[in-house]
Amino acid sequence: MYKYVLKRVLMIIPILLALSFIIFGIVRLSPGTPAAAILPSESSQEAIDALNKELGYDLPYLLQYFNYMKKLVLDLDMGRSWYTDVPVGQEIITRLPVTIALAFFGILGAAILGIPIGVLSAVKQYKFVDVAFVFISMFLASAPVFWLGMIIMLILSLRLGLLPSSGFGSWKHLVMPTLSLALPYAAHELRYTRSSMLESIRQDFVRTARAKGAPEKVVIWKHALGNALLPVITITGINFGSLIGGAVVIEQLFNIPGLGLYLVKGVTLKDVPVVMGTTITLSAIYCLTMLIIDIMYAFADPRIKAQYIRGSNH
Amino acid sequence: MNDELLILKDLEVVYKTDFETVHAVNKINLTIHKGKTLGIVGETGAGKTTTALSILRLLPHTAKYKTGSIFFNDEDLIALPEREMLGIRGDKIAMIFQDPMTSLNPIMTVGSQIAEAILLHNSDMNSQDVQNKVDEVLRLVGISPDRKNDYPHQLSGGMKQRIVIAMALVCEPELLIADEPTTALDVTIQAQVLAMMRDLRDRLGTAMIMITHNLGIVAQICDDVAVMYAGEIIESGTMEEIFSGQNHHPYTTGLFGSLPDLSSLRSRLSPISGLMPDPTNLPEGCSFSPRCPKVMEICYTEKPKEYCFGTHCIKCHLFGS
Amino acid sequence: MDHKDQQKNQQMHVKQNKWHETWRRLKKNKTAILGLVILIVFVLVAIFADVIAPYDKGIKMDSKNRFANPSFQNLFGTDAYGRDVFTRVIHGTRYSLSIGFFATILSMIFGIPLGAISGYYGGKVDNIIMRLVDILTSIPAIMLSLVVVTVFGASLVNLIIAIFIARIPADVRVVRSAVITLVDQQYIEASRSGGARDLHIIIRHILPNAVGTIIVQSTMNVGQLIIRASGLSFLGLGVPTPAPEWGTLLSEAREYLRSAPHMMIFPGVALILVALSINLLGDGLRDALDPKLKS
Repeated sequence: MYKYVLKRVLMIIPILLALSFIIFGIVRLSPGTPAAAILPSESSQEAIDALNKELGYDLPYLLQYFNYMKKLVLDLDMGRSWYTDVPVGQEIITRLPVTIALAFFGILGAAILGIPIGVLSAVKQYKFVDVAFVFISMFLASAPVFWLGMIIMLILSLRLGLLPSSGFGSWKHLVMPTLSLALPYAAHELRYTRSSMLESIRQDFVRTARAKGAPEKVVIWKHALGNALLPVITITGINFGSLIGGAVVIEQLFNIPGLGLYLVKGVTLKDVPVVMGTTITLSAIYCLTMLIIDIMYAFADPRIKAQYIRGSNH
Repeated sequence: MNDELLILKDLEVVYKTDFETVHAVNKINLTIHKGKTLGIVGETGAGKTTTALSILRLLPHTAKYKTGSIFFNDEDLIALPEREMLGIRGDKIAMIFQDPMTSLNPIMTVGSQIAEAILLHNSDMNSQDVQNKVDEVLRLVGISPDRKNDYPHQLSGGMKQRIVIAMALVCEPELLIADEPTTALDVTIQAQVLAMMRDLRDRLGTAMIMITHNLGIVAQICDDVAVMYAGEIIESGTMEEIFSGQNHHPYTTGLFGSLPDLSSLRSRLSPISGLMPDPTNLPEGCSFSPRCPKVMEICYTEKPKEYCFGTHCIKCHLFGS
Repeated sequence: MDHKDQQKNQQMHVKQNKWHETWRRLKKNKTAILGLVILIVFVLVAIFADVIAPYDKGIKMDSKNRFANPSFQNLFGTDAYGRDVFTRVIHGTRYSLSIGFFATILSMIFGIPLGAISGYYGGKVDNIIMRLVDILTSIPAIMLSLVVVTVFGASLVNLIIAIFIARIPADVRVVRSAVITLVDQQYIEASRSGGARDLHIIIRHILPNAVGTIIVQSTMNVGQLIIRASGLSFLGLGVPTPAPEWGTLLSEAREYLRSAPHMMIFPGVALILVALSINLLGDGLRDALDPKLKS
């Protein structure tokens, strides 16, 4: 079992390497040079060339990539921002917890809201409760995160004055962004849990549990839900990944100093070290999350656990 | 002492949807005696499973008990509140189903599933006693207690069905309802499981309802037989009366006649022509009339009464007068 | 009619029946039909945008009429430059729908062959393709699109490219798993032993059966693609101004949220309606294609 986990963790490394190669290449391919973006537009060509040379931009692509990776792996140094000259690693360490907190509370809210209501909806299929929630969740699942954010901002902050509309400092700043992220994903969790439950309830072993004399509550919440939750675990993990992406947009809207905002700025300015550092970090987090989800699933479902112990699959 | 354990009296069960009404069980009468085994035989769709589920009130929401009663030890199960019904299921009356591959919860160990059956009806038993009982019943069905921490997917089909039987018998119910318990198993395993069931039945003195479409199984394990067709019991009696008696319902004759016989020189099987009638639209008169080789005028218009020769009863106009 | 023609007739008959059955079941599903109707309305709006709302009203700046509330003159009010929001939302339909449509189609064009090859041949080819897919999926979709768009510049075409590249892995996976399930079936064996060439088998036998799943998955995802595209525009990295893409409209509305909320509400509602209608239709298609899954 542990061999499998180790193997999976190690496999992330080549993926990240390949990813960084591709991203580096894409960014490098873009028209224009960083010096031209950084220096004011009237600067002379010599000034531009000089800055480019200083930044190492005139070297061939492969050499630049190699230098970057060497510094990253050996010194854990992600370089300095071409624009602000602040070390990228430092910014990432400050900003990463912010984004992770946002994503984490977002998915937590989504799961807490969506899963129990999904179960309830499945148990009361086609009754009013079910129809109402299915309708609401269809609506929320179709809503863009940033628009929900604006509506929430409008109501809670601008009209009612309950919460600050931007910046970051206290828990109050987290409420609206988290809510904007949690709602659409709660809708996804609800729909998925509901359909998983509906399938689970129809399984034969549920009938066996009833025939044993188990009360309906035990049948639903122990037998049916236990099995229904398995695929929900995977979906939650995938949603977490999408949520990280959503956090990027939300940070822009609520002006939250996280990695998302940092990435967007870096990408707009073609600030290569910033883009590289942020992308690699966020992708690594994403891959690790998926791995953790897979492992959780393996522990939950004894049939999958058996496969992993045999070591064959994947 | 009254040895009648379960009496189905004029039981009628329908499934009602917005579009149609399915007449699944049409006023049947059955009696199961203590310690005896009744076989319910019939084609798929005859209403056997609905009858079984209706005894334990495990029918879906669309099902309605239209008329009749189900007396278990003189108590009408249909009128019983659900809370008390919970005490009956698994404890006094147990049921096992057809497909062992899907009957067990895949994420619970088999031991814990058997333990659940015990604890549901003996909530104050201490855990050591529960485990001892689990081990005991596992041995009873021929499985080593070492395997109680295994998950269902680690067991073969035959072993899974033994676990299902163990779960059903662990509280020593007075009646076991078995709905085609061996149909999904290999033929050789079928024989083993059946032999085991017969042995347990004898040892524990459990009454049994064995639902099957396989006449061979009926011959091996049943004391009494009821033949079901289109939701009605069209013939019933002891095993000898049904298998070797003189008089039979034409459907029963057809059932036996459609069996392949290695010793005979016939080159073709003789199945019963036609299909069972649509349960949403049963024919007037006798339900078998469209297919009956011995049909008479009266069969199309009047429902046949039951005519009994001692314990052997047949619902057919041929035996009237 | 000789044997081969009879066979072909039967095959076509079976295929027609399957689609006929699916359409029949779909028709019964009221919410799916509602979704379809709404979607058709949007498509018509996109096609006849100029007729419904002449474009100059949407770009003409009128500094005397800024931030006007919705009125008979300006159904959705006006924005920071006095431009008519209704016109801009109507014309924005073209962007969202074409992005959704082209990104989906392009993703299928690349994804289906890759998935089919990967699933059918297995082995090294499968490994390589799946590694590439893994790499693409190791980065959250919006980030991948973000990097692609900003690097190549913000334009409609680049936005479509950015979106569909992030979608390809999903299509590859769907087709691959459908192909893998089908490849084991015996009629494929029979076909092979009959001497049929690989490409023929893939196209004639395997893909038609996978098509249903592909269509359902893709439909259910188009809404996400459209929202993602507008998210990029919201960040200023999508279709450049003054193009009235809904995401861009929302980003313009952001500054004036308190004073002129109508700038934000209408484009948002339009986005939700499009995504909702697609989701309803997608759900309906999935239920129609495999009714066993429903109840």
